[in-house]
Amino acid sequence: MSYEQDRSNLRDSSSVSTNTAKKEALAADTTYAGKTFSPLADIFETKNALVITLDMPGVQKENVSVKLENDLLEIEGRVNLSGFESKKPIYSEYNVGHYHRRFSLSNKINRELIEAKMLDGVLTLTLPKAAEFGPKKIPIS
Amino acid sequence: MVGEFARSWEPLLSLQNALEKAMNQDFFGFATTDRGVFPPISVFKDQDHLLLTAELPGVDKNQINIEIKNDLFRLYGERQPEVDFKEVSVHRRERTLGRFDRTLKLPFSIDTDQVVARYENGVLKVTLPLAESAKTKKVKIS
Repeated sequence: MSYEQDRSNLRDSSSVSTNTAKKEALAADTTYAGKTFSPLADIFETKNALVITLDMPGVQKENVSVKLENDLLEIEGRVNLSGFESKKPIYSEYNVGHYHRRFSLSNKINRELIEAKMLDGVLTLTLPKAAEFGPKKIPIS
Repeated sequence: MVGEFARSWEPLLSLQNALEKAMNQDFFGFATTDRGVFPPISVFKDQDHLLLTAELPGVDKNQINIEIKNDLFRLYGERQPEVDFKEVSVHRRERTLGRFDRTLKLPFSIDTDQVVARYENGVLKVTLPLAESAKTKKVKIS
């Protein structure tokens, strides 16, 4: 299943009447031709946190975006295609493209303390569990 | 095929199409590879070099070994997990970890002394210059 991501919402032609409005519309347009892939993820739970590791080979740290909006954690990674100019593929086992994946978070995660590390194409997200949802001992009066 | 993916206004899509044509089928689906081989390898060619790329995210450079003998290319090593599996509860496992060992027969003779390998952002890129005998030579008609 391949799909193109079109997140531009300024394509209403009646609003693109002046030059500045048109420039803004083009700048916000994130449509590009090509497939977007879903990075493979491993999800682990430790005593204090949930850890998600995603494989995004070919993506530099600067081209990763991790956003949290409402309960949706959205991860995007862009590859750059330099190094392939003038080269012809003669054997290929994998395809190259941008990465995108979304996760829904439960309210048991402490959103302020989410950490993200990117090294060698692997993005590691640490989602600490909120303390108030841990197991509690209830005292007897 | 080179002309096709040199169109600068659609570089990503053209590259993806060229890679899929090289395999003669569109089997990639939503994952970059669902073949199950690890690590997946692609080989490109330009005038005087072969470029071999392998997707190997999260591996320590010292754990990757490359051996070349005549036209056989061997890539082997081990990919360690970032967490200790004994300490965690696993919810989901999609990635391939552990030992890997792959040997490819290259389609051209290589100048083995001039091979350069780099590991960047989880992608191993090996540049293999063609041996003199494998380069295209023009013949003049006398």
